[in-house]
Amino acid sequence: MQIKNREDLKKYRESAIAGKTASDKNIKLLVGLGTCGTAAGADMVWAKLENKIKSDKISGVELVKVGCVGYCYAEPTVEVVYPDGESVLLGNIKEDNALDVIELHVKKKTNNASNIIKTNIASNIFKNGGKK
Amino acid sequence: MAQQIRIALRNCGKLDPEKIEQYIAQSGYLALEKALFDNKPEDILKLIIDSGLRGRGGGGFPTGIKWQAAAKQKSDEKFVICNADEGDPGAFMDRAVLEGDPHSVLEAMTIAGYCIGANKGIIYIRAEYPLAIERLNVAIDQAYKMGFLGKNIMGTAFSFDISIKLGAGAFVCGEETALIKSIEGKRGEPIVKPPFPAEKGLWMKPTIVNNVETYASVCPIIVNGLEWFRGVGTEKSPGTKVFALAGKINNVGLVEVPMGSTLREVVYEIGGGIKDGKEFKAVQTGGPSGGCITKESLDTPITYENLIQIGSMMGSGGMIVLDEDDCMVNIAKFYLEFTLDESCGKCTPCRVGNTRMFELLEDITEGRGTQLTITKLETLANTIKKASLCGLGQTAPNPVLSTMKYFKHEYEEHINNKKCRAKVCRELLTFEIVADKCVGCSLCARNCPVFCIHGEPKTPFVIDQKACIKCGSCVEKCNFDAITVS
Repeated sequence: MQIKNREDLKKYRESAIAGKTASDKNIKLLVGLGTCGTAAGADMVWAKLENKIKSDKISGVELVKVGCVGYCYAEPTVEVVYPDGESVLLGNIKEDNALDVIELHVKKKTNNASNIIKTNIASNIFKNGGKK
Repeated sequence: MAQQIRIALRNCGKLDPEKIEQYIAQSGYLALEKALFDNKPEDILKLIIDSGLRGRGGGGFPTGIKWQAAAKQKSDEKFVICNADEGDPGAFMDRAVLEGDPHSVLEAMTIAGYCIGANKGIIYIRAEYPLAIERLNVAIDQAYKMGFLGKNIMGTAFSFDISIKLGAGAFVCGEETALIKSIEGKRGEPIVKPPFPAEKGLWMKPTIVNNVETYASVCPIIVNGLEWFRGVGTEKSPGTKVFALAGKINNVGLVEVPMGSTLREVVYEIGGGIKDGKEFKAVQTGGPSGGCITKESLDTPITYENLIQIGSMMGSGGMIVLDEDDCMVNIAKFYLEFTLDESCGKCTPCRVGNTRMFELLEDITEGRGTQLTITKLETLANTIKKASLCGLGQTAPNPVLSTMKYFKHEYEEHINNKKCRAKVCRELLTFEIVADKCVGCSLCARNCPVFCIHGEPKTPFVIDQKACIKCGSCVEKCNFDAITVS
């Protein structure tokens, strides 16, 4: 779609946000597929997850390809974002433990698995102006 | 506990970089909308100046002032360049932004074009970043199709095009004037400033050159306002800085912290401390142009000015953490070798001076150093700094000067005691067999490439020190831990 004026953009943004709201109802698996993640084997993890979701017909799960998340020491990484907005970041997800993501974090909501990375990113800076 | 604040990396790892609808759903192209429909170019210019945003490529020059200088020029054509020629060893901030959120850079470049009156943008990116290039191309296509780039953007009178120019990997092309020469198809050699690119840049037309991270920080300022932006960081260095943590640190990776965070917060709280519980020695920032930050400065707030004051620099954001096993003379030699390789050869101080400096450092690490070597190094370093043509040469001696300032004792140990405390400089090491531990198995002797280990089976062996080439293969082979290195 070509945006020819401000009204077009407004409409497009509304539909994009609606699309996001709809997809936020799924459990999202954000796979870090930058050069760094890919080098560590993230594309194989992606394939494994994709096949599993298809073969087991798991609904309400969405795979999302994202760029570098910044946790190079624990690549490949998969972040699981739940419909309620909560999320866990999982590190060192290789081909052999990729399916744990589905078993432990999609079918269940495990909060104490060994590959959970503690993140320390301020999440609400766009609201409070980032004041320390 | 120190926290990361992500402004430049706000979307990295959060959305699919190849889906423009996801970017737009996260306030994408909202800044461009505000700029084109609600503001005159000078309003945005004033906002960027007042926000205090400074160049994230390392120099720290105020972005708005640079844009203003180009905006003032009268010319039929102006250019907006994005410097994505990230070349510091161990730095990968720009790659992450381009791979994770390419639209944020395109949007900001378009806004920059609107501010200064340019209609053409060029992204100069190194060819070693194939995935970043691919995602940029996808993003540029999408932006053209949707009317965020091209003629009459979103029906306004403003038109802007962006194209990609691949760099061939020369470090010096990260310097803006060399980068411009490279785009023109000439050799990537810097020229003397002034005139600054903002006056006479690409094809002698007014040009602004900004780093990827700088552009990535622009849109949130326009969307959230300058009060918000100035609320992060310090008075003179507002906002955040992305660092690439590498070296002997547990959590190797990308972090974005408010300016004014201390090194201790970055290394210990966010970076997870030093690997294997070893002792922190220093952090090298600013790549081959920078210097070391020592233990004493762990609590200094990281700002452009503070880092310069302690003899390092912000640089583009590479942070290499060094521990007790790193030899500072060797580190200086490593960086100097890098600049030596990358020197374009145009001016003598850089071409010849750095070669001589490298040889002097080699003398020290190989045990030929004297007090005179240090004096010569110092004189040469200061001459090169003053007499080189461009930033590459002017800053090449920095790693040497900085390590000499803070780790003079290590240099002196190498010279006076012929000793390398980190056990890195092989020529200065002594390999010895501990008689009590040696069982006389002869394994070391059989593996010695120069046959300098002698003895009778079942009695302790001895290394002939004069013939030893210090290769270390005996240490690797010994099953009884009977060989010491000192």
